[in-house]
Amino acid sequence: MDRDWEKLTEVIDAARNQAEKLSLSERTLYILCLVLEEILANAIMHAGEHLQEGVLVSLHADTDKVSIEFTDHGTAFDPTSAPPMPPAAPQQQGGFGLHLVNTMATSVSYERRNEANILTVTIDNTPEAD
Amino acid sequence: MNCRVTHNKKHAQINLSGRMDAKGVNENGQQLISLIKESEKAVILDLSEVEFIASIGMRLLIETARIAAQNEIGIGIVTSEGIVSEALGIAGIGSIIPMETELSVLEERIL
Repeated sequence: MDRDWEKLTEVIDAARNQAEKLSLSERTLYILCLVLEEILANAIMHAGEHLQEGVLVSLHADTDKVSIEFTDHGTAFDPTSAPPMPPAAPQQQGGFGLHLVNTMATSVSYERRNEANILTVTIDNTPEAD
Repeated sequence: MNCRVTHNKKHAQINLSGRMDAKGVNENGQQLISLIKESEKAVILDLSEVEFIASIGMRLLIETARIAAQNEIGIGIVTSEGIVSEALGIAGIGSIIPMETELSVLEERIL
């Protein structure tokens, strides 16, 4: 994905269209969209000198879980080591996105390999509550 | 994201609907900011029909609270129970802006 806001919307819409064809619960679909939005928005906002370099997004889904892998060659950044978000404050500008991902996804793992950031987020496909 | 405003005696109610994601906020966030800036009465933001909210939408809500504080008007959020409400809770939005699932309870808090 190119790092611009229009592409972000296109990628999320495409992933949502694909995901809606699978047997994902509404909750799983919601968290999937949230993960895509937050991680890719971060990639755009913090691209710096890497703005022209894309982000590779791979989505794998089966009946009980969905995993999304994000690969980019930007500056090393481990979102799983971000400090816990302090209590929300009126002057707060950021920090919500990663906090939401780390809290709502089932697992988030990061590795730096061959000068690339590889972030893998897994979401259990939890059935809808009755 | 869509905004629809209703003026009551004591407050303005802004019903938000759709997706409060990057696309929705970039398209219509400024409209919400303008409505808050222009309001001379307390504002209730009704998020019951919001189907999705990302952090960019939460930052927009915090911005509305900041403007309301500057203009010395009350502001609060009413939501229905569900995953949008859960996400707002995880981000701690309720500690910045009064948030309730019952409109009457919210009115008692902010009016």
